[in-house]
Amino acid sequence: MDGFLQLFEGVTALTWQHFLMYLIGGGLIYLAVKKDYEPMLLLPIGFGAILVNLPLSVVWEHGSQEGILKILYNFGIITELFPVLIFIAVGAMIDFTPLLQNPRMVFFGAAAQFGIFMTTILALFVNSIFPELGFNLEVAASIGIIGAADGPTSIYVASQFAREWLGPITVAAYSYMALVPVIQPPVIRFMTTKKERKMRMPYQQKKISREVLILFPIFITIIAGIIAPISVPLVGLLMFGNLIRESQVLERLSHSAQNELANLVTLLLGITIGATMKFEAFLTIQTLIIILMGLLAFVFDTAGGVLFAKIVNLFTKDKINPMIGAAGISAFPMSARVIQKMATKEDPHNFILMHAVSANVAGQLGSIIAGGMVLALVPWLLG
Amino acid sequence: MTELQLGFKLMLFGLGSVFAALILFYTLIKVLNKVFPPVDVNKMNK
Repeated sequence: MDGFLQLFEGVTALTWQHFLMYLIGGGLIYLAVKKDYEPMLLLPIGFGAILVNLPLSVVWEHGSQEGILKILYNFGIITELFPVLIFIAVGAMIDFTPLLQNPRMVFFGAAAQFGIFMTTILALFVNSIFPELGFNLEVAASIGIIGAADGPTSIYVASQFAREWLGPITVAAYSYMALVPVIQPPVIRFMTTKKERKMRMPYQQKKISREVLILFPIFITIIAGIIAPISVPLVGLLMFGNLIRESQVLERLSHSAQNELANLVTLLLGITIGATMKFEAFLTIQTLIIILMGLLAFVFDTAGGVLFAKIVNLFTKDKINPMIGAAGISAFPMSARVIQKMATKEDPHNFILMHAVSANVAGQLGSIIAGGMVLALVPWLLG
Repeated sequence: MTELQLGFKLMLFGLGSVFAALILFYTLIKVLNKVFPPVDVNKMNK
């Protein structure tokens, strides 16, 4: 009889938690397919979550043998190889020209990282009330980094500080990046007056010289490497990808980084992250709190950016539309588009898109720098 | 020191250092644009 039952051990091992995880995985696939929310990541994550929650979870571990997804996890996540390779691809896709044309927007790339740190404090505060959550400084910083609005940075930091929460952190980061058009407008409307949203900003288009485009990634790498050496895998490889692009002599490599490398690593990264979502670890109160705090991180980012623009306006002659501050997050080009759409809604002839794009590019840079700083500061603070 | 205090320290040093880094980048862009000046596209088209 036991031998007979062994034939059906998949059926006998099933629990309601497995079915709930199929629903969650299916929900992520639905968001990817039907709503077009970050499909490149959410679809593989959703399917990975289903795969790893099949009875006995053989894709993770089978007897004493490692399953295929655990091999990928050890190879690409534990070593941080996948997120770092993604940085090369992202670097090859970023065009820093709007920022180089409008350098004062660089500061919004810093201000809109406010959410990272505010959320970290919030997570620590919640943990001080409910210590059983286990949100120590490292975990809290990994939750806060959702506010970088930058998937690879979130994965990179969480894989160092909070591997057990990699699944929910990644899902939250990518989901909210896709939901920027829903999250940002109400926060911006709450923090600005109609008059402020109507503010116009003159724009003068300039052609940046090729020398600047080539020297910029090289110097940024050197500066970042000197200030925070631990940030070099993030900043250095991002800038390497960008140098390949801007050199204009490595068209094939640039094309490969933007397409083949990005696609292949994204595919493996997504399904591997999904495989970390075993129900034992995922169906917890901590997951719910992480998802909620991720949302707050985006709200704080937006508020921080708008507030900073208002403060800058107190001291400068050339006033800035405060909505531009909200574009300082890393979700590119979504955030810039949201800001332009809101500006057009208030005044159909107000075009602030290029300023918003400049702030948005600064956000891409700022989020990676913030990630690097978190990686450097947390171990230092913990002594 | 409680973890909450460490969180405030992280915010202070974290935001401070991100701003400091971006001030350096701002200076870098200004210097690069000075050495290799950009071309005003509007003037080019005239």
